[in-house]
Amino acid sequence: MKRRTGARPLPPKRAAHSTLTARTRHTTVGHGLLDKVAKPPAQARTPARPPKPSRPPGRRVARIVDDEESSLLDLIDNLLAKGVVLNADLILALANVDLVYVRLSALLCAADRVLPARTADPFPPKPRSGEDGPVPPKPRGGEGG
Amino acid sequence: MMPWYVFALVDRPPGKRQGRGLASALAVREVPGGFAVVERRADVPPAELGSLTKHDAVVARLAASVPAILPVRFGTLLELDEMDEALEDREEELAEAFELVRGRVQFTWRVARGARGAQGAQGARGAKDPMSGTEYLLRAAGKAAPPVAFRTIREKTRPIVAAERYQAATASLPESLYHLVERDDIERYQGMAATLAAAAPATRVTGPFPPFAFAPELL
Repeated sequence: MKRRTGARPLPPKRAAHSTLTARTRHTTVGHGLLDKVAKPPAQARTPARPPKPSRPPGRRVARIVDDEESSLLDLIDNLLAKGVVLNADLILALANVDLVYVRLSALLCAADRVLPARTADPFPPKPRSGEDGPVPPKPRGGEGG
Repeated sequence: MMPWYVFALVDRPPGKRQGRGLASALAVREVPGGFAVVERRADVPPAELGSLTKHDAVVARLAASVPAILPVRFGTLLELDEMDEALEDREEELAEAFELVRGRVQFTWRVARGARGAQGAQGARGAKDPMSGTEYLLRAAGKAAPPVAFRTIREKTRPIVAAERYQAATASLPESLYHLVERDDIERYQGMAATLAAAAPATRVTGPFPPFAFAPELL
């Protein structure tokens, strides 16, 4: 039996673009964080010697999370506090025949974030002679988005 | 043709080169009462950290290049005629919203969870009494009073705060106090905030941000 060696090319020994690189490029973690984590320690000058990390990896990750905690909270508050938009396409079919098409666009949100406030001012004004307080913002409002 | 993913409404076009959005170039489209900064996109981006960070960066970049910006809800994907339909007859409301945020930035104060102390304990006692569901919810709503620390902050920052808004705590976010401050007063406010935050360790202030908390529901 003769083996056909030329019919199918062998896979390259080394891929031109590694999967790791591609995933890193599309990661949801911010580039700043990745740079901090992936940056080799400054002591690693000889390539033959494995570099010694300056501190345990777990400790380092914890420090980064601590630093970013406030930013993450702000990110969520600023961008997601007004809810999440849910888009969906729904097709009801029977016996492989598409019958009903529903295009769904829904807003999922706490009511008090999008509806005008019904309660009184949480900061009841103290009477002060000759001093103007901050201008209250317009009621947030209307009938949603 | 793909719909438009909307980042913000602005009072003036932010210049010739707006840069990139989440995946492609930004564009500016005129809408009733202002301009919408948009990007062609087929679907709503996932609500994950990468998309949120990019969206936030785009809005922050835009905020630095226009006098007034009204950030739009994350995930707003519309056709141009849908934008026009949503904004027509609301030009006056839009103008007032632009006027409120023009040349201003937002600072956010928060109180750490568990720092309410006696007020929270009082709420727990009241919840054990037999009552109807309606009564329970009304009581819960009535307890949404701002913490004392916010009152002090409000008193001290009053001279340089243009507008403010209080948001009671939710399941995912602590109670927050949002201040709108003139851009020229940022350093002054930050100095004042550092003193106040040091005096009240349970509070924390962040900013400056685009005026997310002062943007009305428009789209």
